[in-house]
Amino acid sequence: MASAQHNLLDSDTIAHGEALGLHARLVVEGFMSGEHKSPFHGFSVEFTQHREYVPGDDIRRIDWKLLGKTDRYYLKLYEQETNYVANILLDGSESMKYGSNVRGMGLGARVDSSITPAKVSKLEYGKALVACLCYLILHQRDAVSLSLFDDTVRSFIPRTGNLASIHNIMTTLSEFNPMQQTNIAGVLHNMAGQIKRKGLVILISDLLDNEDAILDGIQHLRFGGQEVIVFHLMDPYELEFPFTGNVEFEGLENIPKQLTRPREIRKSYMREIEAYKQRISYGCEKIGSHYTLVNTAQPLHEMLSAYLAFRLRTTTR
Amino acid sequence: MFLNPLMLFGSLAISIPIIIHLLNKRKFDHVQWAAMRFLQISIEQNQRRLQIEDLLLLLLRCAMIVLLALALARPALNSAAVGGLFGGSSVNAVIVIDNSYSMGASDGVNSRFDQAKQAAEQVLELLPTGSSTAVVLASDSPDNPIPEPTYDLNLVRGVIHDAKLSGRGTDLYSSLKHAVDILLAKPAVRREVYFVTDAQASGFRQFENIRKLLDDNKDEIKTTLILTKNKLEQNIGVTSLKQSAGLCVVGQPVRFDVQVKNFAQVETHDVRVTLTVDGGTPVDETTIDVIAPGGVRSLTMFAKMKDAGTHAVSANLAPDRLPTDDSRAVAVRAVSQVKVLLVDGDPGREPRESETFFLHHALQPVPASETESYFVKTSIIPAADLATAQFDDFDAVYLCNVPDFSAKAADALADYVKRGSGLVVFPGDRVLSSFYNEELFKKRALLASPFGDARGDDKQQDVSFTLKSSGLSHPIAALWTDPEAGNLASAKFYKALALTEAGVQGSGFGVQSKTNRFSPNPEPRTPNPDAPQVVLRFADGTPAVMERSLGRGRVIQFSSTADTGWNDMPVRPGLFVPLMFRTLGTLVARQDEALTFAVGERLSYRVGADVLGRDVVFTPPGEKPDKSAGRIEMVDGAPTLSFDSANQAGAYDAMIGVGDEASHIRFAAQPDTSESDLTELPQMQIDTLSQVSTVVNYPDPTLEQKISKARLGTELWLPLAIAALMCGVAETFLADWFSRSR
Repeated sequence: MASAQHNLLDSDTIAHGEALGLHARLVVEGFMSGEHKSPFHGFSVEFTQHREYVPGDDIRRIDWKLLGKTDRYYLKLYEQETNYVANILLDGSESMKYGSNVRGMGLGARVDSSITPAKVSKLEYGKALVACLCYLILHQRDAVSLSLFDDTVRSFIPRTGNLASIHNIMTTLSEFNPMQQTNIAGVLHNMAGQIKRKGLVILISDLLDNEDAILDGIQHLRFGGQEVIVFHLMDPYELEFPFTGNVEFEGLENIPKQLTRPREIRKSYMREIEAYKQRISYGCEKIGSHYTLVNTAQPLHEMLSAYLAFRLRTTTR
Repeated sequence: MFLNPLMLFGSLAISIPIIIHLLNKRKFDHVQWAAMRFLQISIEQNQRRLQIEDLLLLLLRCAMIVLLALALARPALNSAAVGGLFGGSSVNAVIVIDNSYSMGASDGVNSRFDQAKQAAEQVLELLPTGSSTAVVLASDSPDNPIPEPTYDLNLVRGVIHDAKLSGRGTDLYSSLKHAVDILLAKPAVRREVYFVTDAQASGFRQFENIRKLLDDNKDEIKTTLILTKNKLEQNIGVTSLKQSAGLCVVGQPVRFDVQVKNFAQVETHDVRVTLTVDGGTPVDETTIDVIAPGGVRSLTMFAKMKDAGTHAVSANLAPDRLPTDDSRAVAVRAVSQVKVLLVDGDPGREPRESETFFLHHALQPVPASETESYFVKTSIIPAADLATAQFDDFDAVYLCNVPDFSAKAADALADYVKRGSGLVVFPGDRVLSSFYNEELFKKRALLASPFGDARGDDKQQDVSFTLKSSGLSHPIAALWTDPEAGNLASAKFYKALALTEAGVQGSGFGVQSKTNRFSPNPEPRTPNPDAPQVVLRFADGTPAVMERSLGRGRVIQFSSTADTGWNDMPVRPGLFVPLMFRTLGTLVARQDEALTFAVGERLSYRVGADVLGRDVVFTPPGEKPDKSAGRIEMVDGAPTLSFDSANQAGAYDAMIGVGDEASHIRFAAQPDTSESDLTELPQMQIDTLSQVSTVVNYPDPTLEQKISKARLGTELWLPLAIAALMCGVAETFLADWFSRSR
């Protein structure tokens, strides 16, 4: 604990957290001031306030009565009657440390240069994604709880609806360091047992675990009435396997080293990856959860805007 | 059998791909990887295949290197069966064509040399593709138009076609040895020598050496002896032509000694011999009534030279079927006058007592009124004037009873002789023997012998001794071999200084005679022609007159006086005058001896300084002027005309300068007379040769079969190289295919 406190006070960590928060703010505010509406408004049922209409807003939300009285265009905004909780689960296992452009991960290995590497590791990407989502959700006054896990939950931020606690979230995120193998299914089952209220579960992970167990865990959550959104983070190198020459692969989660000529087994690897993605994707669809494959080379704001746009289309119908 | 076994070490390079393979296993990039699960599955599916592929590529690479090393080592099989399997492999051949002048023997249509060329061309046609060939022209020494085997067989064809008959003799051993050496210098499976020659016995003088050479190398080198059979029964030839000693003066008849030999087994009748000067119309003509089989007839013929300078005199027979020996040439230099300096060491009180009185009259045997127009001009000076005399104004200097003179004069005299002039030394009662022996003999080699003790006593004239009149071999004395010319023994000698022959052999002051460098057993060396020789002997065998060469000049040393002090020879004009003329002629002709030489030797003739640097155009006998001209250059400090490609017998012309200023020097190359003897090699010896080589009598329709029967063995480098190439191609293809992603 002493070291954690010390980390909290660490100016670098704080600055990083601030930066992360700022980054999230920038990303999210981009949506709010733009043509997109906050996608989570669709879940609210109770009126909270009016907002002036800007071109591009859905005209079905215009408060016609107010128009009749004031001759001005206002939108009606609602607030969820009971606090809506988004439970965000970020996988913090060792495998999430991988990033094709990350020092110590084999940066410098010969690769097919047509594949763009990701700028950050999957974990960094995931942290940024979490920060953005938290900011977004807290900003629209929903509640957020955050769990960082590997084989079990390592850091937990209990439910909060206060936008001010975003800093706490940022700091927690930035000081988290993965250490262990993953056990997603266990964490999901555990989570399913703990969450009492219906809500939203956002799982952010590379899902490098037994996919049947993962799907089982998701189903357990769904059974508890949770809506589950899966962000499947994959590094472009993991997707495309562009290595050439002789490469020794060292597993990040205590798997023995393997020396091989990757170029010659690329197709075989790609088949395996593709089949795995398919299984996860079909499994999620079958259970009724949203599955999104995220290539970490894709800029976060692009990914997020694409996802939120998709989300808006599917939930406001 | 490997022709290049060192290259087998190249197969050690097999370690290179293995090392690269092992290094590759150690050299890899390290990547920390999250998605190991899928990687593991892929590796499990493919690892075995990858290992097999690696092994296959490694094996291909190793095989390629081993095959390449094997191919470079040039393995060969000495088996006809395998040879047939891979086709005839190439041959390293040397074609030796005898171009001695006996090959010029013709049957009226084709000469033996024409046949030899045909045979050589046929051999060339029968060589398998990829063969290489050198060409050696064999005569008394090998000539290499193509010294190293060449793959350009068209070049070989051209060289054979253009090959010329030479005027040389034959010594086949040296050429055969040369051909064998060429082949042994290069590794090859099939080495073949094709030796095209007439079976002239004289060419096989070193028969035992030839047989041994072929026998020693018969495993490595297949020799085919192609004998052109062109029977020639009759041949007569001029075997000798010499200017008899004496002066060659413009307008005066010059005597030539001619020898004609009948080489046939039957008598020859009515042989017409003509003498021509510079290729003009005959100036003398003789008919020999009969020459016995193997017999030699000597003739004396005369010619007059119309102008001063060098002339080529030829003795000619009617052409027969061996043309080269039907004519023989000798080069002479005609002079319009001869200047002689007589140095009188004892002038006496009146002319008759002068030491040079008789000599002067012997050299000018004409009335006083005609001495002006006579071709010998004499000048007499006393011994005291010797130091200031201009020797170069004279052709010869006579020292008559000169006591001694200064070292400077001795040096001048030695230089004068070395430059090509003559010196005659007569002793007398005033002569200081110690000066002559020390200063002239020892220090300057100006004498043929030191002067020894006096013999006899000039005061007691009742005791005398005489000259030996038989066994005369020196050209000066040759005249008296004919008893009609007078008897040498008629002159009486009362006193003489002893001359010694000691050190006559190999005193070695002259130029080393040319020897055949290819001959392993050089024939006994003829005495060095420049060494001191005895001209005349006394009846008891001691030398009376000796001569030696010094540089380009000659010294003749008498042992008795030039006047009647010690002998009565000067008062016997029938003896003294011809002796003096022949002596003078020998002295004057000395420098011109270089103009006549054996075919194949080198002309080196000193000329005047005025033509130094001028171009020279040579005209070989019966040919057009050779445009590739030479130049008069300094050799050993003197302007010299040099010519070293006298391969034809006959008279040559060297034109020095151009236009009206051009001067001509004629010289003659004389063929080896032994070559005229067309006696064939006995059948027994041919049988002996056929044990160590394939003997073919040309023309032979079965030549091809005989050659291919002897041609065994094949090289395997080509199939190995192809296999190595295929390994390389397979490796490239498979490596590419294997590296594709699966």
